[in-house]
Amino acid sequence: MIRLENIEQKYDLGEQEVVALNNISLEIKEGEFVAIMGPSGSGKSTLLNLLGILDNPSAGKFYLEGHDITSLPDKEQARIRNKHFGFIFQSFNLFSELSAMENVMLPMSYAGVSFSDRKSRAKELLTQMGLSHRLNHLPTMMSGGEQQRVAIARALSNKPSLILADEPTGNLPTAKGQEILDILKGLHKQGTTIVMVTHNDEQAQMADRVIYMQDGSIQDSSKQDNKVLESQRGE
Amino acid sequence: MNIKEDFILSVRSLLASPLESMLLVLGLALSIGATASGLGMFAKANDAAKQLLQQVEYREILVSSKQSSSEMNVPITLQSTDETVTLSVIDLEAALLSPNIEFAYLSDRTRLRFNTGNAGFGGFRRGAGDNNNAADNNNRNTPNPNPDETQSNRQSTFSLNETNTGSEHGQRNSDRQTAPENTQGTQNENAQNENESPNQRFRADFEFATTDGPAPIIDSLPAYEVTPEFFSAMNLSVQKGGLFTRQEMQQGAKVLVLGSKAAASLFEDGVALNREVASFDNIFSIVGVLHETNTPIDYNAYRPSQVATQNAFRFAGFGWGAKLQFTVHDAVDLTQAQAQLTQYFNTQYGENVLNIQVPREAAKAASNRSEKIAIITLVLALSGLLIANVNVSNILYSRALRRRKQVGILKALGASKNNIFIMFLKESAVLLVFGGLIGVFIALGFSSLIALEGQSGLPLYAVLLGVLMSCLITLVFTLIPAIQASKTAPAIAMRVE
Repeated sequence: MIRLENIEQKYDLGEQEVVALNNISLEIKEGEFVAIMGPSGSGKSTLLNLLGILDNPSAGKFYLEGHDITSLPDKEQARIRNKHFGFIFQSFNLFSELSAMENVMLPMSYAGVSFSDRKSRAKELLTQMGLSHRLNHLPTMMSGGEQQRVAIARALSNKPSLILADEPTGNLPTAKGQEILDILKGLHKQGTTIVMVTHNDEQAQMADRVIYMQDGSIQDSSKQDNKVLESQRGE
Repeated sequence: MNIKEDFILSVRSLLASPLESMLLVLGLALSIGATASGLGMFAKANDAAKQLLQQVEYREILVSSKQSSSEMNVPITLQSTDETVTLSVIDLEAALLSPNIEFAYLSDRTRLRFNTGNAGFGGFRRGAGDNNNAADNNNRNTPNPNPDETQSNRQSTFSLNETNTGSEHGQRNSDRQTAPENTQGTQNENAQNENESPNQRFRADFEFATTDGPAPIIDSLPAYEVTPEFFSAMNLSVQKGGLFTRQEMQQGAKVLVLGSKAAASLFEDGVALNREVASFDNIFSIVGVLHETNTPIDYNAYRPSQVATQNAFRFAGFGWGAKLQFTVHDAVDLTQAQAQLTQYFNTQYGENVLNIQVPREAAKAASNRSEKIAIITLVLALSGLLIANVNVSNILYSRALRRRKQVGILKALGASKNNIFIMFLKESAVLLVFGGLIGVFIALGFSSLIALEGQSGLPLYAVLLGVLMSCLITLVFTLIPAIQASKTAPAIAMRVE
């Protein structure tokens, strides 16, 4: 589904040039559950940004379904984020000005979904998340777990093929975090590809594969991943 | 209805910081109001200048003797009378020289003082602009009136009253007309009325004539001694009664045509037509009331020019204030007509003896000045708009900076640069709609303030144009923060604060 080839990410901080990612090659297959682990500053968030096309790499190739998307115009990249990717953030990132319904409806408006369809889809998703009693509540009136479930509903609104989760349980108590993980597991079972950044080894065990990051490089991965890399080198 | 959620987000963001939003709206309202008013005033000044220059007065050439224009206050005895030129009806023939001249008339500003019947009104009041100064001086130098003659004069004026009661004034004057009529309009040296012989006039000045009818309730009116062509030149007509003719003027008829306001204010009951009013030695019959013009004409009284009948007194300065006024049909002909008249009067009286003025030039200068003031007002208003816009742009920019996270999330959720740009532009449009509406009220407020002073308000088209223009300019200024916001990197969404 996604193939990264020799990705480099550099940030120009005035006089100093910071290399955030160094020669990353990586493949994520359809339906895979990938966990990214590593210490702070290892580049895992940068990698997630790249995977979600929130940032363009300084060098290297990014193939999505076989198409190089690094050189696509902003409008196309936005369309891909909107239709194919779903983001789940550590701090939920809901709009405090909008109700749960409106938060879920928002990405669909960029996809050109009609108001009534947006409304019914949002209602359906929130009900699935067990929030049918919270439809018109503002995020500030909800608990952290509820807010994250609204965020997941929002991420699912356009039926994405890839979910990108950045420490989705980081701001939640353990019990609530488990609820979120269960939802992600359920999505994975339904065939959605999931890439999750986490600090928690236990959570990482849920994944099909764990990518360890250190100083902007992939340190160690499962055997499967090594095989992929070897096969790429062979090509 | 298909209100997108990002627009709801915009509106609620604006409502979430009411103070800032209100400041933005207020700034926009004031700058839009000021610009619209400035443009309105500019348009008004332009229109007013155009309208002013269309008036008859500014298609005229004024010819006057130097004395009448500048040395009115110098005592008569100090002036060498042989250098005095007194313009008369004859001089109006200069009009024949130029085909461009439509009308020619003689006008002499004076003031009519009435015997109001008050006990205090026994003496002779002098007025600065009074044409009868000379008579006044002479009067005081010969303080020896013959009572009998005065009496006879009074009787003669009384008898005049009796004959004046007829409605046809040509007829009523016929019995005292002794001089032959001159239908050519040229002045006859002998066209003197017996009742108006100089001695009688002086004697009569000493005691006031009175009438049988009601006394006027005002003691004076601004008056002009004019030739009948004045009415045609000014395009004036009577609503009641009639105008006086050239023939009557030459007969020295004591008749008055009043402006509508003057007619209404003269007597207590507001009726003036066919009444008589006493001024010095004269009893005037009011023969006509003009249509309302909403100009100073409404407040004036017009009597036949006396110059036609006072040749014998030219040397003494009668008719000094008389101005010959030549009206052209089209203002572009003024220069040529002025040149022709100048040439004529120079050969007639010598160079630099007469003042030949074109009021249009002065009016043009004045309207240029007011136009300049209007331009300055407009520039100030536009500066206000610019300053307000820079500030609005600045506040919007800081808003965009504060909302980088929001924009980043929106982008992560699938908003393109274009979506963000339009979202911020819509937000500015919401502010502009409210600012613009209040701005229109501000401009209309100014307009009605001007309208209160008896003028028309600011032209609506200019006000609306000003609103439209300032809104467009403001929109351009809001583009900058909108573009800046649209450039926000989406990766910012991932940052944990």
